[in-house]
Amino acid sequence: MKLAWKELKHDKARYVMVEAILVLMVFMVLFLSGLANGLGRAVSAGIENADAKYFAVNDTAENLITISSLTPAQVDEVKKQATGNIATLDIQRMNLNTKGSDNKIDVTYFAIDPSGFLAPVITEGISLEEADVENGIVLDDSFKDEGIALNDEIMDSTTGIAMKVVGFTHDEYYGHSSIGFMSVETYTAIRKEINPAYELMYHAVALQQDNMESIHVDGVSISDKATIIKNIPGYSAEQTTINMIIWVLVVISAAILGVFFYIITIQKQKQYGVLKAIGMRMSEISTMIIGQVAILACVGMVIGNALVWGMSKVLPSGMPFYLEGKSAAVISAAFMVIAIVSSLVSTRKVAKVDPIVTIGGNE
Amino acid sequence: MNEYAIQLKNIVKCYKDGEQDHTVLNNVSLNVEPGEFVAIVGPSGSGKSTLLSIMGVLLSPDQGTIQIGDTCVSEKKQKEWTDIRREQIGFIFQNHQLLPFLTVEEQLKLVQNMSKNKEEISVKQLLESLGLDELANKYPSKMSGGQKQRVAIARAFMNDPQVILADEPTASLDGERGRQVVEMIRHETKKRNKAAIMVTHDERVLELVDTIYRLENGSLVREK
Repeated sequence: MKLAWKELKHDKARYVMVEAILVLMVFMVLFLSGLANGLGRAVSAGIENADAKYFAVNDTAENLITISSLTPAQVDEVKKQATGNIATLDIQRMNLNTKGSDNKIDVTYFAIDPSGFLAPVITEGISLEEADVENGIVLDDSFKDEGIALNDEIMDSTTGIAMKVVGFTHDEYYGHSSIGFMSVETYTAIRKEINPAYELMYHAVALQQDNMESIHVDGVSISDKATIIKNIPGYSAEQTTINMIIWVLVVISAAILGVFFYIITIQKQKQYGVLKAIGMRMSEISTMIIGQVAILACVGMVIGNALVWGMSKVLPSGMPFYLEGKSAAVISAAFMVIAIVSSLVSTRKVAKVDPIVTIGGNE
Repeated sequence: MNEYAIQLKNIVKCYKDGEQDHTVLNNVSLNVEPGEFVAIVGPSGSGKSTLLSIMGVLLSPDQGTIQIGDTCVSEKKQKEWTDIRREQIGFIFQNHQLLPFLTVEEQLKLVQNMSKNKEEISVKQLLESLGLDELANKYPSKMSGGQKQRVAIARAFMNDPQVILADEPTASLDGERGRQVVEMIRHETKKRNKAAIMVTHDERVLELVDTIYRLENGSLVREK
């Protein structure tokens, strides 16, 4: 290991270049993965952020909240059988516009109980519960880009019902559209305006309990959060594509790294011949080679992660970027393993070097 | 304890040259005592490098046996060759072949740490006795050719080997420096009672050796 480090230190120019490639590769994969997750979150964040483990939906809805409908009686029954807190949820994609403008802005209404656990985290202003006004709404902060500010009056485009922006929340999306949180009353008012015959129904019930066995209600099926997210239209297909891109990148990076290590090794073949001739064992030589790669990879991980972190701070809010420490760690670890595995090819090459190359014959 | 530091008996080595077998070494025998400095001369292509490789346990002969000190190399598996080189042989290569990323002191410590005879020779003393103590913290790229070759000599002695093998040690040096280097090998060989075998075609340094062999047409003939 000492030898490995000494060589890195002595041959700075060469290894800084390799390190740069490594850092760029790590950066590329992590950054894209963050963007990909961000994109995934643009579909699912609203559900993902919900502090619930399970969701109850209509058993013919195929786990799709927006086409599910539960009667108040069913919800009551679920509530009775539930071992933890419950909260109802309605999801409706609509449009809204600012006062005096015809420009329709895409929005997904999440109708919730303002005092329940689905109430969003407020980053600016106050919560629906605190505001306690008629037709209050809490918007995702991406609406600020549309020129909507705190305490503005906005209108539901279809019905013309006015709502007051009491607060903003962050990172709340559903199906690529930003979420506006409102009370069930406001939501019912909107639905009744569209269809006077509307009767109170709920799309889904969020459950906080740890298992789903306790609940058996006719016409109601319980699914965990991951299943619900997977069934959001487009989510699975998008994620499959994106993950494919990321892992193809990882594999290509591995190949490029392998080639780099290989070229460097070939340049040093004679040196390895000398080491073997003076009696260094192959195990010691491979420790040195793998040690070097491990050092390079470790440093690369740290710098790459730092770069991605820095980059994520300066990205515009319209470009959702989301990278959890855990997935960054998984990708980094995968990279470490790949770097070391790709260096095994070089090690094999070195194992084949015959120390006799050191005797006679000037090249 | 064997009376010879290295002993070669009836070594035969053939190479395939196209369709034909080309006998490079034909029944070569050689005994070298501790403290003896031997030169092997011969035209290029005469098999000097092959002979040196066999003596250096880098190549196996087709026939014949080699004994280094008390170790009969022919009985050892190829896997154990590395350890024989590590403990029993000191190489001086044509172009120093020092590791570019280690200082002089580190080069020697590397060899010392690999060897079992760890405490036998102190790095400092060896450098002093070869007049290299001022170079201890220098990298090879900052040294002259003669200095590098002297460090290479120090490295060869560092593992306290039975046999020193020098492969054209003066090839890249001018006359005067070449002579200094060979004098140094002689000096250390005598002082430490090692067997040294030098392959060379530098006739000017031959007066410094004890015994001269000429390798021609596959046979080794004693000249002096």
